[in-house]
Amino acid sequence: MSIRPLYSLIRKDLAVFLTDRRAVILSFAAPLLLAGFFSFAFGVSDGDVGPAARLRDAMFAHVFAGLAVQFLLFSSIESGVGLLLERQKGLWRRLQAAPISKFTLLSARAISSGLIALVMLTVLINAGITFFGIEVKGSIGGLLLISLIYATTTSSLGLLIAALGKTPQAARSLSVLGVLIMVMLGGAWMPASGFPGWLQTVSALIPTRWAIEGFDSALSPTGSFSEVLPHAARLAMFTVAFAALAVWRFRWDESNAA
Amino acid sequence: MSFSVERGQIVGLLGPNGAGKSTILGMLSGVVRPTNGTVQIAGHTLAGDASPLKKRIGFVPQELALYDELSSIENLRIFGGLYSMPTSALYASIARVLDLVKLSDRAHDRVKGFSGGMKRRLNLAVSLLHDPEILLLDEATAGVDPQSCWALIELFRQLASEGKAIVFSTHHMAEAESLCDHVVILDRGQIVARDTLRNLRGKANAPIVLRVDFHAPPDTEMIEQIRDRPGVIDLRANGGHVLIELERLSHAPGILEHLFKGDNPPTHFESEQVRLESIFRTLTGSTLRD
Repeated sequence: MSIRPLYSLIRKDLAVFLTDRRAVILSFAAPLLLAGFFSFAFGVSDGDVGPAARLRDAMFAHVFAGLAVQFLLFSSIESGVGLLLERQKGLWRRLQAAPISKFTLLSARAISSGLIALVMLTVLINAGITFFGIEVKGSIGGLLLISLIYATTTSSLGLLIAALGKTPQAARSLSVLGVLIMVMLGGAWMPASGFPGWLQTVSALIPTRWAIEGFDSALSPTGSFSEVLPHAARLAMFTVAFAALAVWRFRWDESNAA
Repeated sequence: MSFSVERGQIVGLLGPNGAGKSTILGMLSGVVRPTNGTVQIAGHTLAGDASPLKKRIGFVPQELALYDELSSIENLRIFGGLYSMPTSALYASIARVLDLVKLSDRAHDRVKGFSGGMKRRLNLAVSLLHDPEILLLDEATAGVDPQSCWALIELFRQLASEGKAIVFSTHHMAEAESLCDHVVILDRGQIVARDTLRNLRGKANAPIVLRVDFHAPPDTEMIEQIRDRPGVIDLRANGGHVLIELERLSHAPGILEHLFKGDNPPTHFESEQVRLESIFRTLTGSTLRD
């Protein structure tokens, strides 16, 4: 695979993202606003150090991690739908006429959306630490690892959305529904440990469960790098599965496309 | 299916909707994979998405395949990068093509604010960045005003004069007539004619149109008399002039002789050359296509 076309496509994806005001607001401003609201609602950093305050802080850290997980998933929808919009606008015909392969196109999209996801996580976590009283009490290394792996999971999910989506509109609607289900069953709204047994079994099949538990482990005072590691490993398996499925199902050849 | 295009030549690919023009150009550019057979250009088989043969081909899709939210120069930088051009060569090429399509002064403007004609010119510029030998233009003038259309046609002529082999699909007969050396007429995925315009005119059994002007509009009796004469296919009267469609030019003298003997003799007459449109209709029929 030639590097130059890959670089051009990544650059294009990033440039298009940065000019899309809606995508930038959805990726950065919306989660920060919600984090601000929850920070206010939970009364974080009000100086209280009692058990109730510690529980509140822990709950807010969980909600904050859940927000990050959820908005990265929304960003993956934008990435996948973006590829489908390019097909709808006829841009694929132009790209297909160039000497590049399907693998180059997908790799570029995976890298660019992975980079956007990493920047989103960096901004959110730093804003959380600086403005909303989030503390990394478990493991900074673990936080970096789970952030990196989750960014790759969301980027491969974006590819899968592009591979399975027939039209941008249909793909967006179904994906939003899918994200809400994943967020709910993954324990972003309430910790999966509080789920009934059967639902905990079901949620083990949802990647967001392992992302949220990974973030919880990295942020919690009782967490550690070794505790983050199995969550990151499970998440990595989802990344590989999504990417493999996307490459297999992606129809680059327009004659076969919808 | 096979047809040839020499360097410096413009070949028109004509056909009604659904004839297969875009599919053929798509296959030649590597955009559409043939369900059967192979595509060969200059003795080389076009195989695989990353085929090096693609570097010799410039494809202008029918759609305005541009990133609207980016500037002209950003679009060109992105698409040029897909051909692995070294940075210095790419920048020199961007300046060259922007100058060629007269968009140098709009290089940093977003495409979103461009007129249809400007977008079409940029659409062409993108395909010229890697200086291809073969240019495949799929309805490259669609949807633009006449000025922009003729500016594009002049550009195509200039590119041909620089030695590029151009295949140009259209269903605008006037464009094809003014631009193309050779035409390939397609119908239902098959070539139904392939020749120079001159030869096609000679071969075509297309009707001749005789235009006759009068001082005063001819009366109904005269019109009916002409209509009944042998060789007359159709007749349309419009005020002081009449268009008579004839099977062959040899039917014209008898009709003119008859008209000159009347009370309202013609003031002027001319036979229109067999137009490409007539040849096209003769070969592909006039049934409406979806």
